[in-house]
Formats: sequence, C-alpha cells, structure tokens
Amino acid sequence: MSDKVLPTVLFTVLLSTIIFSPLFGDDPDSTVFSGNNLYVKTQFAGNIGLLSVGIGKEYLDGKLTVDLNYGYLPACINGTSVSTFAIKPAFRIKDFSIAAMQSSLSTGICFTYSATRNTYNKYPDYFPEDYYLGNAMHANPFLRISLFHFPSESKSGRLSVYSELGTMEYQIWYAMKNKEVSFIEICNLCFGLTYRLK
Amino acid sequence: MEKAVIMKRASSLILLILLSVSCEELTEYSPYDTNVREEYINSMECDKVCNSCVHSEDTLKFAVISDVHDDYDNMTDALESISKQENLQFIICNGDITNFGLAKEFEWYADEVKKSSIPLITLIGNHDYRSNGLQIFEKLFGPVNTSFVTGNYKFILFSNVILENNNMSPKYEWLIDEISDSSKHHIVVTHVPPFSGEMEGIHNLVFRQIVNSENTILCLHGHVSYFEDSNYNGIHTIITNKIYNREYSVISLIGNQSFVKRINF
Repeated sequence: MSDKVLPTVLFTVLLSTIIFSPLFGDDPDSTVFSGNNLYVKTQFAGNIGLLSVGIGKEYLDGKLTVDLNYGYLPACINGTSVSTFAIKPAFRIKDFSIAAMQSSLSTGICFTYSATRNTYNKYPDYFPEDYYLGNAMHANPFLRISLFHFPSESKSGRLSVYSELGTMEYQIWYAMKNKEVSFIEICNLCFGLTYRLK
Repeated sequence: MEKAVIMKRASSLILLILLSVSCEELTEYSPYDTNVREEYINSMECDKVCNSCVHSEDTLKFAVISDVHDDYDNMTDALESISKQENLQFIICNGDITNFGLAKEFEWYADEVKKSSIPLITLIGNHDYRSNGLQIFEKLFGPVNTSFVTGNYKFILFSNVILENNNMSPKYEWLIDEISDSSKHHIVVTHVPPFSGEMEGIHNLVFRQIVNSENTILCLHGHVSYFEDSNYNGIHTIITNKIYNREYSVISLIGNQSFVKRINF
C-alpha cells in the first residue's frame, strides 16, 4: 500500500511536468511520428505477464496504434502459470520533447484474455446456466509515455521506450465504491520497447 | 551545450531512474498472480481466541459476518460496531471475501482483518475459489478446513464448496475426524447451507449423516445473502446476512443452547 506511494508520486510528477511545465518543449520532430508503420514490441509487467511480445500497426498517421500481444507468467514466479493474450488500442494525445528526446503521451485500453486455473469464458457444464459471468477477460485503461531516444533518420531511431501507468476495470469500481481502496492502490506500472519495422 | 538542455536532460533522467528503481512494488504481472505474503492469518487469530481469558467454560458470545465480497467500507463499519459489543470473544467471517478470487481482493480483505481489535477467523467461500483463489487463501489464511476450541466449544470451519473447486467432493473424512471428538459441544460452520441447490442430492445426504443433532449444537452458514434462523436436521441453524445489507449476527452460547441477535449498523 504505502510502498506504492513513491513510484506513483514520481510518475504523477513526470506526467504533470510533461503536461504543464515549460521545462519541456513542445517542438517535436514531426517525422518521428508520421506514417502508418508496423512495429514489434516487448513489455515487462502491466498485467499481461512477466514478459510479453507483440506486433502492432499505426493508423491515422501514427495517431492510433493497435497491437496484439502474448504474455507469459511462469509458475516459478507466480506459483501457477498464466498465459495472456492482449489487444491494445491507444490514441496519441500529445507530442512533446523531453531533454531533446521526441516523446508522446497516449491513452488506451488493454483488453486481455488469460488462461490459468479456474478461469473461464464459458463455464463447464456442471455449473448452472448463467451462474457467473466469465472471469478470463479484463479491460485495463492506461496512460503511456513513449520516449524516442535516437535521431529518427538512423536505424536506431526506430526504437522507442515506453512506460504505462495502468489499472484494471474491477479495481476502478472498488476504488469508487470504497474509501478504504485508494487511487494509489489500484495503479501499476510497466515498461516496454517498440521497434518500427517500416 | 545550453544550460536549459542540460537541465532538461538531467531532470528527466533523474525522474526516470528514480521511477525505475522504485517501480518493483508497482509492477503487476497478472491479476491471477498468487504472489501474496504467507501469513496463515487464521492460525494467528485462532491462537488469540484460544489464549484469551474465558469468562466461563460453558458460555460464549461471538459475532458472525458474511459475504463481504467488495464491501470493505461496510466491513469497516461492521467491525467498528462489533468492537462496541460487550464480551464478544471473536468474529467469524462466513466466506465469500472476494468476487473473483484475485490476489488484490484477498489483500484488501486481509488489511481489514488486521484492523480488527477482536480476533477474526475467516472461512473460504465459493467466490474465493475462483481463478487461483484457493492457492491465495491457503497462503494468506491457512488450510481451508480448520477448527479451534474455546471453553467447552469446538468450532469446525468446513469448506463445502463443490462447483468452484473443480466439482470435487468436500473432504468429508476430515469432518468425520473433527466431529468424532465427543468431549466438546460442536459448532459447524460452512459457507454453503446444506439445503441449497449446490449441495442437493448425495452431498446433502452425506452432510446430514455426518453432522446431526447427536454431535452438533449449532450450524452457521452464509452464501444466500439473507438472514435465516431455523432448525435443519434437528440442529439450530443460522444463516447470516451479507454485509452489503449492513447486518451481522451476534450469537450467545449457554451450555448446549444457542441464541442469535441480528444487529444492523
């Protein structure tokens, strides 16, 4: 609980600074964001496994991205293995530069389907009909900051790193319903890399 | 290099480094993660009950809450109300402490238990078996079947969940062992009432053969989300309302007699 305060505060500071502070410029290199490119990606954490890999495509001149991901959490980490498939649409809502790095702020929802024990979309026949709604799918809203580290004309310019501040749909409901569940407790962070193929 | 650029780079670098270093507690691999701290809360709470001062061997007063699900604020209010009741020795939570059996839900409930000034022993419910809930419950609270003795009373908390436990039969042999001790008055606590749909047929028959008026003075249940004070199979049977309805039960035992009071908060 309280151990989440520092990282959440830091992320919020970073986010607020990006949006409000004159410390960061708003003069992005437009060539970095243009085009409807294909990209591959890998991500650490973010409720789609310990590590995930994916492929995606940009639309609307890079304003919209949609990627498909597969993530795995091994039993040695979790006690039981979890495989997760995710589709992540995201809209780029602001471009800016951080310390001469071309950057962007996006928001989206990660729709996940996970396979592990006692997790179903359709329950086995021994359950009465309509006994439960499925518990294998989730919708996880997120805010993403992407940083493009390198000159866009180089091969390495296709590489970007990103961090996402996310939550889960049921956790938002719990926080809205209960004073006992704070905003900080429903936040999580993940980190990833994307590489534009073309 | 311009001062402004250096400042920009330094500040964003510091923020990113601090963020990365401190992110461990903020990373979540999966909602189905079973990585919760091992605490065996039930065993600690039972020890508190057994070590507490017993006013009389043959009288006892305790509270029952049930079906907390995601009602943490109502649970806080219930625990506050219960703490004002006189001479209560402990609280039993009669299962369904989560909706989806997810680690976060268990941890939020466990945080509430730790705030209670009165020992609180938790039984697993059918919702708590969903996802990887069984593994999480066993790490946080201990075995799903457990018992404890206070005075002349033995409380037997028995998991009779079938469907969510992969349609497996409850461990009736454990129940037979526990109930064979004839030196105490037995109180049997199960989440699912034996007369509900999930227990119909052979399970109802087996349960009624094991738990009967010869060996049990009181049965406590939850699950159905309403209060009921009845006699089933010759045994005084109490179903506690779900906490969403802002109600709990206070039960007094005098010898082999039991009395229930509904408390709204």
